[in-house]
Amino acid sequence: MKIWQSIICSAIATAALPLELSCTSATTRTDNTFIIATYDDVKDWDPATAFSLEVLPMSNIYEPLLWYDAGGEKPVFVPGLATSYTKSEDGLTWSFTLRENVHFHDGQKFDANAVKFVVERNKTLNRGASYIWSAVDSVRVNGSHQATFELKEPVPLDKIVSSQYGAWMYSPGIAHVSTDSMRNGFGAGTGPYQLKKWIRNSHITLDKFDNYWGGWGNKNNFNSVQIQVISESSTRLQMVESGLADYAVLIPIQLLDLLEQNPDVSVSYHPAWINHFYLLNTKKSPTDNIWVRRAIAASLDRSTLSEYVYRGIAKEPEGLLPPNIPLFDAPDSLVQFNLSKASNYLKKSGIDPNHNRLDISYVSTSEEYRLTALMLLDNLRKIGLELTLKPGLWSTNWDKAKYLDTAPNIISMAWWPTVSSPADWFFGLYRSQDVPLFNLSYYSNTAVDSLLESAWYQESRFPDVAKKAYKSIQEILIDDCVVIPAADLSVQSIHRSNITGFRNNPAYSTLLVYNLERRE
Amino acid sequence: MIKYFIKRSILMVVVLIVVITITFFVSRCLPGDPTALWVGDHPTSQQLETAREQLGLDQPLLKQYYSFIKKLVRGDLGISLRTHQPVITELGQRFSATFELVTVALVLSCLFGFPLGLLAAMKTDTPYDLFIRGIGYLGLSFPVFWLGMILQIIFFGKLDWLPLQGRYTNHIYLDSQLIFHSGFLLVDSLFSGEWAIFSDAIKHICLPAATMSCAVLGIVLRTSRSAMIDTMAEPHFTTYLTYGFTPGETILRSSYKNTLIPVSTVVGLSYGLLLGGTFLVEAIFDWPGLGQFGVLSILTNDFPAIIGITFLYTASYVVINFFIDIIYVFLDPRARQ
Amino acid sequence: MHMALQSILSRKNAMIPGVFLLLLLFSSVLIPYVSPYAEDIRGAVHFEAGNQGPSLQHWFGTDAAGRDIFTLTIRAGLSSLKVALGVVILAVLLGVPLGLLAGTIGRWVDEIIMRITDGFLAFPPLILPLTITAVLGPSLNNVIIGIAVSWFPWYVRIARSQALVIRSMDYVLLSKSMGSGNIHVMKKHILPNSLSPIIVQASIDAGYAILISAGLSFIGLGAQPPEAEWGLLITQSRAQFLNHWWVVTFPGLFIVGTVLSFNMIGDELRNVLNPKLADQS
Repeated sequence: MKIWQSIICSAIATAALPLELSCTSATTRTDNTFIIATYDDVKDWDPATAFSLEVLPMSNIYEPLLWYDAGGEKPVFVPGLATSYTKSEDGLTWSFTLRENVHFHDGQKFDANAVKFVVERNKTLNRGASYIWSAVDSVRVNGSHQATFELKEPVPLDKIVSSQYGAWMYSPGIAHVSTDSMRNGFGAGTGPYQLKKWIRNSHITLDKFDNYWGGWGNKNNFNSVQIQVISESSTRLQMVESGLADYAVLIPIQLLDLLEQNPDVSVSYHPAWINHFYLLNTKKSPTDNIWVRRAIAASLDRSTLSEYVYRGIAKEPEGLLPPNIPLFDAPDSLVQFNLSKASNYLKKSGIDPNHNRLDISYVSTSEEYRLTALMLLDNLRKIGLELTLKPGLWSTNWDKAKYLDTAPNIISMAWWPTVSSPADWFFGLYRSQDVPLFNLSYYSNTAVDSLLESAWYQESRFPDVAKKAYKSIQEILIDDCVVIPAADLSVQSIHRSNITGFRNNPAYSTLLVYNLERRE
Repeated sequence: MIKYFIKRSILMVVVLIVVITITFFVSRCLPGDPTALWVGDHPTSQQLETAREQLGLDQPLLKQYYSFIKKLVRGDLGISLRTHQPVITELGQRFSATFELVTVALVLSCLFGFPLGLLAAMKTDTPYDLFIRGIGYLGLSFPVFWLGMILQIIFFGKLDWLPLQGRYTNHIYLDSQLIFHSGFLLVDSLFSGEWAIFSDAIKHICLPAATMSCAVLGIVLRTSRSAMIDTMAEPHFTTYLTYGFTPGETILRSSYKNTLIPVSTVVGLSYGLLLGGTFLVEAIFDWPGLGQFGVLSILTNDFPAIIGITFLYTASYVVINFFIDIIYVFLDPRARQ
Repeated sequence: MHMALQSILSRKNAMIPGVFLLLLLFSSVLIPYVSPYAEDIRGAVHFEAGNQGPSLQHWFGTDAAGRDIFTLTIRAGLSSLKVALGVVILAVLLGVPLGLLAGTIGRWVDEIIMRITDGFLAFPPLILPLTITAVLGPSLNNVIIGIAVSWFPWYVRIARSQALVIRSMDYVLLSKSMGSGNIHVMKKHILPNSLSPIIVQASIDAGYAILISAGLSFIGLGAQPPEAEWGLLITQSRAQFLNHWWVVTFPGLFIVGTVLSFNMIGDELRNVLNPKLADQS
């Protein structure tokens, strides 16, 4: 085999002798650079508005006031740029004591003025995840390292300042950065790594920030991070296999199946805060009829899905959001798969199945959605309902779903939170929206709206009350059959086996390189 | 001669205008609201409204057409709704990738098609002829996307000889200094002496180029074969033979020139086929070229990009055929009527 | 015509593919009644039987949803034959009358028609069908329309050049001098004598129509799930095709076989019909 390989390889390369035959030769790197192979590039370098996979480099460049560690038994807040905080009885005044002797990458000091600047700028920009600051009325500077937030409502500010989007502290020096410079790459945070170089659609290089407050006492820390943009998944995987990369993002299952036993590569799955579900359109015929919705809900066989379609990468859902979200309490029951019940529900609805068509829109590039849609089609056919499949790209699907006349009856969705609370799901998906953004079931229920609001305002002072309320909300939604949960996903982690220090924290879908080291 | 040249040039411009107009109106009929694509993941309805105005989508259609033409004349093809880059920039970056692929595929098909066609012509109605013609037929019948996947299964999945996708391996490309910058990776790396890049690029272009050349192979083969047969039936050919020249020598001396004429028209046609094939092949092999951009643009209703791509493809096709026509006329004065 | 038919039937290069196509047609129509997996055509899923390779129970294996690939592949033949026929008939119906008109009447009608067809013919293949189908919405019927609209200019050209040749022939001139109108000339003289090149082109186009519609289904613009269509079957296999070669291979082989058959028949038709045409001039 090897002989043929080399013959063909050198025959193809008419050159003298390539120094490095990249025919899957292994490399052991001993440098102190951590290389990540990811699938797409950063589009927006503004830490106030970045809302997508920018989070990978940015969470190594910037830091929030607090981190939310949800990886252990109980979630805890970990001091970040704030070392401690207090909140008033009424929950409207929060005071943060800031860490001393912290500097931004551009030399400016981190202090209360910086905090005030960041919050106000984010609110003014009003893009990306800046809505998380909407309940903040003002930020007062009480001394160089004391920042006090006055809130309009008693929202859980500690969760907000630890959000994975829109909560980073960045240097006020950003005010002097032109939009052109920003577009060509910008980074002025307090984090362990700073932005050194960005070649569009090629790679991002981060170098260690010597003045990092956490220090570099551990000689095994990585001195630099390189994020390479490689859109072909097979190449990303090969780079980890051969040692040219330490970590690969988003590798399709079939490639992992092809991966032979390789002790140098570690593939694992961890619980994440993402779930798949299907929203049912409550304003469009025939899903505007609750018995039709119940019939559809009873036609989804979640256990078969979990066994054959998700094959261990996901769990059967217990509720409308992943169970390891804090303040989650499982609703008493979800609609179970039962075709004869489904058939009865359909009869109860009173509609004529022959004159009613259903359609489902789902993301065409997802094998899981495709197979689920096929399953629904088959099961609904058995009870007499015809389902039309409408696969498409997310942007097209979403666009059509926002207008009632082009909206589908059923739409596939995935959700992950910005703020670590069930409220994130409910605000985004089920609160009444005049013009639907993500409330694609067109659901409007004032009972849910007010329950949600009060739960959100009670979370930080009366968590048990909030927990009960979040459970009630789920039960109302299940009873009204607005959504069919499908799976609670795990996230994959593919890396060289000799890298250690990974801590699974589902609150952040990113990798903190500062914690990692390469074992020899 | 000059008159012919001018006439053809004017005709070409007219055709391009017609093409642009057809494309504009067809793409504006695409369903869906492209504003959402532009604004991105989490817009508010206010942001959507502002974007509509910015993009000029609230204007009547004819007015949009007029401003579009005005911009086009200045070389501005608009901004892609999906990537937020100017369409011209996107096309420019990707043009060399597609052009390189298409050229290599064309070279491959001519490299194999010509000699096989000539061979088949010289041995008409023998098993060789039938076999070669069979290959030609088969090549024309393969769905190009299927062939690509089969090759991937064999050469990547089972044998692991060639990469699955892509044009180059990032880090190899990164750590290099390319002196030459024509945009053609193979040329650049060869002339810069960067053997690592060269061998990497060759390995990556193997499967996509082979896939694309299959269909064209059949056409080149058949055309050169029938052109050769016609030539061999002509009196001067047999004259040469009676003088003692072998068929091989005769061909080299004279006949091949006559075969160039029909074959050059075939090249024009093949170019069009190859351009069409790029949509599918680039999708399969994740080739960062115009075809991949085109498919994504169509699927996401990114109409500035769609217009840009269609115009570029069609213009290339028209221009290539224009030059082929000119060459044709040079080679065969009889065609000037 | 009778002589042509006789010659065709005697040539094995036309008979073998012809038989294949007929077999395909019959089996695709009959398979729902014969196959134990007929329900799969309507979208039945059996996940427990998913991703199995070729075996005695499933000759072509199963896909990720457990559907029998053999049944689906045979059934998909019907979609493709429908596309082949639909495209060709539509393109001929659109193109031939226009071409005859252009060729017979001439003058400015001819000029306009020719310029418009030039515009259409300037597009490289696939681009127009792609865009038109995207506009109309993804479905196999719209693919047929999209391809036909992109191709009819070829038939305009063919019909026109035939008309040009024939209208200057003696018997036509005679007929016109006796007072026949243009329409009459078209119907009685030009059309019957133009059929040969049109038929040849049509049979070859039938094959290409299948290739293009499979390509469009592959992108997602053609047949929609759970329809059985070869291009769609191939694209649905992409998530696992490296490990499960059977989902890709068999539908593709059928595409090759069908297109090859149309190509071969077309070539034989050309061999049979063209010499006749040559004799007429």
